[in-house]
Amino acid sequence: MATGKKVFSCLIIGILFFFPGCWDRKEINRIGFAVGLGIDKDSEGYQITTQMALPSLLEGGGGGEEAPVWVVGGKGRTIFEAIRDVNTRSARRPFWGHLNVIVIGEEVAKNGLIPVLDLLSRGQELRRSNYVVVAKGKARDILEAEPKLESINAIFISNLIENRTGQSIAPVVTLNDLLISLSTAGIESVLPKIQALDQESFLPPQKKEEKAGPKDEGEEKPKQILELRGAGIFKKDKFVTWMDEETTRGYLWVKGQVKGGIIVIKNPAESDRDLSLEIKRNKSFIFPRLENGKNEILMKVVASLNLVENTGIVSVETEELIQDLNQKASESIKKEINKAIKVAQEFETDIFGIGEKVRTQYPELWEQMEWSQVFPGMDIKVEVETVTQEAAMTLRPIMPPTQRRK
Amino acid sequence: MIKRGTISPRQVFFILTMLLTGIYILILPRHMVFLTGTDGWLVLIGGGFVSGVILILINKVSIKFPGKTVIEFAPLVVGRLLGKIIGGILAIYFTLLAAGSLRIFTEMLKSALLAETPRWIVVVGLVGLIIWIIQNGLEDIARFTELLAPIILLLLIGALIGDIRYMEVIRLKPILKTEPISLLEGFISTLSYFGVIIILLMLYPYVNAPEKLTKTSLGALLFAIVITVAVFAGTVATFGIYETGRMAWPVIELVKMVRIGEFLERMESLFLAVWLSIAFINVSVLSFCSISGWTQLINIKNYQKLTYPVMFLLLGMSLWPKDLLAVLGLYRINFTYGLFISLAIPLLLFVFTLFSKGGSENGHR
Amino acid sequence: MVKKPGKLLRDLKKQDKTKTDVQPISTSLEKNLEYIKNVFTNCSDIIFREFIVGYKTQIKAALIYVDGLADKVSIHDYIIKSLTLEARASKPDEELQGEDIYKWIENAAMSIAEKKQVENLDDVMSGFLSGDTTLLIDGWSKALVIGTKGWASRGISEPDSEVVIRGPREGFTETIRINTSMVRRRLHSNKLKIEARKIGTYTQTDVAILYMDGIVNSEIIKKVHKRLDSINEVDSILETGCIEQYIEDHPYSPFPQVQYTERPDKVVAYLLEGRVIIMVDGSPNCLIVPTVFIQFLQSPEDYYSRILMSTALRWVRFIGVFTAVTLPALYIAVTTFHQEMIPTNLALSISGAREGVPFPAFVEALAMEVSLELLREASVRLPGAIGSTLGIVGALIVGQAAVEAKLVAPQMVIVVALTAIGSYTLPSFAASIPLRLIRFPLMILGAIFGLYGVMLGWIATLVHMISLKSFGYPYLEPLAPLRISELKDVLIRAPRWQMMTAPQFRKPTEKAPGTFLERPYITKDGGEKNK
Repeated sequence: MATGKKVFSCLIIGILFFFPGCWDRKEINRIGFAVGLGIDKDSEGYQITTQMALPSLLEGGGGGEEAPVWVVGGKGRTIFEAIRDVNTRSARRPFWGHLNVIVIGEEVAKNGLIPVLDLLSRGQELRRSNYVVVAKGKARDILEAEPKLESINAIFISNLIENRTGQSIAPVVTLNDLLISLSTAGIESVLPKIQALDQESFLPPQKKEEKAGPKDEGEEKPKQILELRGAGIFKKDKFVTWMDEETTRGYLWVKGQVKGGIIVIKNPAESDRDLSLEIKRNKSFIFPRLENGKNEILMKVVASLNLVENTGIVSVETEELIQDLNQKASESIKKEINKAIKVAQEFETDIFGIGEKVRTQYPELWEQMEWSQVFPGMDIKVEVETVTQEAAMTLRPIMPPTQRRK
Repeated sequence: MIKRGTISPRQVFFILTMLLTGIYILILPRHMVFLTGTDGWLVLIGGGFVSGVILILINKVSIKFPGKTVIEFAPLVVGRLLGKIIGGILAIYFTLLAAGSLRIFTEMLKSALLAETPRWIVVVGLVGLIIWIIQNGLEDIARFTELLAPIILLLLIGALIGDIRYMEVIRLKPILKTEPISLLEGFISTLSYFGVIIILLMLYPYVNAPEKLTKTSLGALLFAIVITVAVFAGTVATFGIYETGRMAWPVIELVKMVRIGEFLERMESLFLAVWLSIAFINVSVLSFCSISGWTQLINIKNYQKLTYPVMFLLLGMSLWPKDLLAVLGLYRINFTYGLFISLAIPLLLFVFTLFSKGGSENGHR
Repeated sequence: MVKKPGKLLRDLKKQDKTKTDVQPISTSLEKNLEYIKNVFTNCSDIIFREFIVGYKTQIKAALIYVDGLADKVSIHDYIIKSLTLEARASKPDEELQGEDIYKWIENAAMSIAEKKQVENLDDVMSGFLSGDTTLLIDGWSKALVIGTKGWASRGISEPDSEVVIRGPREGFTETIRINTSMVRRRLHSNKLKIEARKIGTYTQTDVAILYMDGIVNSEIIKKVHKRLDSINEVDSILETGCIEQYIEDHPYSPFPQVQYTERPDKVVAYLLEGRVIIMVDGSPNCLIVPTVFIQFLQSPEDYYSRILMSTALRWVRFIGVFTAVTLPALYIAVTTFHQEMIPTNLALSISGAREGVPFPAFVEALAMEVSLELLREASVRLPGAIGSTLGIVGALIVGQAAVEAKLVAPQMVIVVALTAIGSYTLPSFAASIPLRLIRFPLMILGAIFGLYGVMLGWIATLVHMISLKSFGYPYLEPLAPLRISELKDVLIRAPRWQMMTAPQFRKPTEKAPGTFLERPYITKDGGEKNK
């Protein structure tokens, strides 16, 4: 027995030595790190843009003139063909394990996401936690833009998505979220909108309003600014319309995903002065009420706010003033939510996932109805509850001495 | 002859837990989602409960024949011919389960980690190690399990906890809206899934404190049910039933989502490597049982002589199916008909034991 | 020692036939001396001193000793002087006759502490060969072996290989008596038994077996004796290492199944745990049996310093072991198979640093690890000061130059350095050797199968370790088989008062000292006891 064991182990070791094939081995400096993927479509087929990081340039500290990325394109009738097309042009095999962001061009979005996503959800290298954004215009422009701060623009985009604490004006959607919302009955997809802009397009203050204005495609210089703002909404897998930032926040309120951002309202005590409220947390509940043929949905949104700025001189410490303030904040939130509801119902796409709630709560009813037709006619009631706290460091507004003596 | 009375009840606990939550859990969520949709976890609890009853029967039967495995005592209970047939069925069952575990694991490894590496080389490496530990004896297998099982279970639970933030309870609803027929089918699958517990019939004589084993094995089953339900519910809550049904390896996808802090992502390679030890434990225990089963069936003194033939058979069997779909198709047979082994044999033995003892009062507890 | 055991035994059997009976002591001093001189031809260090005892009845006598082994001062002052000058000066009451003379010489005429009567010439010869002095007297068929051992020996110094910050500094020396005395000094108990035996046909090395009667499991003693009996006829025992190889359970395993130590405090601690200590004359190391793997991760200092600190240090050692064994393999596996596991920025920087490195990561790592082993081996052989210089030259200059020459990536240098540091965290040098050995197969497996291969290697290692036994005790105890109550000295270092129940080596009947299970001076409600 002992000798048999030894012979066998020798055999195995021998096999290991005789087949040092290293079938799956890929040296880290022989692979191309694809960090960003853009997908566009025209009448011929799909065009993909792959952003590959150039480690040798990064090594120098990133201080060089050249951006440490290389954008390669490929085209094909399917995504896979296009990716293979990229392979013919890249000396290093693209490695998708470090993909940071998938940018979907507007045209692709309008034509349907499913043909695009199938491959992306199959591959073993890709992560399901990749961010997906939809580009206004072409995905290629986004990946070819040269923003500052991060030398790799795909990392810039994913940081942009992760650090949206300031504003809450775009949703965060991963590939997994997208796949689930596409496959689940009673919920439609929403993707954040990304846009490449020129510095000039919004630096002068008077132009701020028309930031989404049309731009020339023929510009030669890569764009400097990438902006994540608003969202595109989908019906089934097809893009239907854009939401502006206020509507997007309305949507986020309902999803319970507002984490940051501000609300500016009038001081209840001094109607000519503004108060800034910072949003801390937000929760939401959806209660469908379909018993006895009713057609009612109740949305309940709870938000906790911090009072961070009081441009007036009257403190809002008293119970009544706080109540009043909460009231006003609620009103303002409600307005945003209603905007979102209006867009959703207008385009007959249930981005809030109300249908899913209905399906789980009234499975029998769900079987009988065609949700996309019922949804626009739903009577959606919104209730908002806010809790406001004074920011911790200072308790009272600045008050000139003259006022104090009064 | 294998030395008897060498492993402790605690080691049996870990062996059973590993067997019940080990390899087949990789394909369970997908299978259950197809049959029962969101109700899978309820069915799992129900099936687990029934398996608990079977487990009690197994314990009751085994305790009456101290120092004997099922293959040795079955002829005494049901007569020589039927007893040998039962023994043969069990030995084949264990061999098949072992081959199945081996193949499912390699299949998963191939699709998720080593896409280009030839399948046989991966299997041969693993089987070599398994032969080694089997030659060293059940005691070593038990110790190995005891050493690694807690770590593995902690990792598994850790992965589930790490995914909690992606889970949404709404994806587990609605409850009990599946067709009763599919529910029944799911229930049968669950019984087959938990049916591995009949391995206890083989392990009994090797345990040094058999009187504690009823409690221990029930504990292991309970623990395994909790883990299985958690994995199933976790998978469905993370991906929803449609996506779960689409995936080849839902549990691996679940593990892929785990993210520890900002810097440790994509831990699935690590998990798969750890899963190797699960596969190792599972296949070694199952093949040990199958080898010792064959040995006792044909009355050989030394089980080590049979190790190589059985392991080569196992290797061949595990390489037989063409692709993953064929493996899953074959395994569906077990999910459907496995209960004839896991349910019928303990029941049969139990009834016969009652009669042979002239209707003992232990029958109805 | 080099011969195969089978052949050796056959040779010995042949010898036995030719030389079966022992040579008795003849009554004629001449004959005895002639015989011994014949045996020891060309042995210039053996001194024969013939002299005459007595005044009227003159008796011839001879002293035999080995120059350098025996203490000359005591031979001069307490044997020769007593027997010649002082014996003549003192006037006995009556003239002694016959046997009484020899009794008088043995019991009254010498002022020396240790003496033994022997009855054959073999014992005489082994007596003076071990440093004693033999007194042969004409007309007496017996001889006296007088204890005059006294040779130059190294003083007690701090053991270099087992350094502690806190704890006693003294270590064993090469003399077995000094060593046993150091143990006895710490353990004033009649339960401490020191059994002596001689092993080695030529070397006749003194071997002592130490154990605590009543604590030790007698099975272990039996096993030790049995195994030592079986090597009774080897040619030579030069060091404890020779015995270790003969008596350990699995000589082909990379893992040592017998621990050695130079520290008396460690020996005493292990004695009290019920283990058996084997000491060999001529070696400062003594063997501890049975040994389990976890012992190599425990340092005596753990028990002297504070609880939390020692627990933390123990975990540092676990990490050190893991690093020393797996880190290069993990690095290879991750950078050549699982690049997705590395955070993007790190992956890019590794890739950038490897830009231009001509070798695959495996070859790179292998070359670095081999040169590390070269460096280590070279610096062990060199004298202290040069050794550390070599370390600096090797580590800093060669490493730096290799990175600049684009032969290796800087990350690889870090990995290799960490590996080396990790293996130095082990308190025992013996245990770090298998870890260094295992690293290479793991690296190969990692280069072929990635993490799957690394895990395969780990499983193989564990399967092997689980199958090991040391004197009947599983090597991985108390981890596998798991003994939860003993983990308090493995995963953590529990407070002393909780560790009074001894581990499995203690005889099962031995009662744990109950009063120490709690801290004796603290009452149940937490207050201090009044008395």
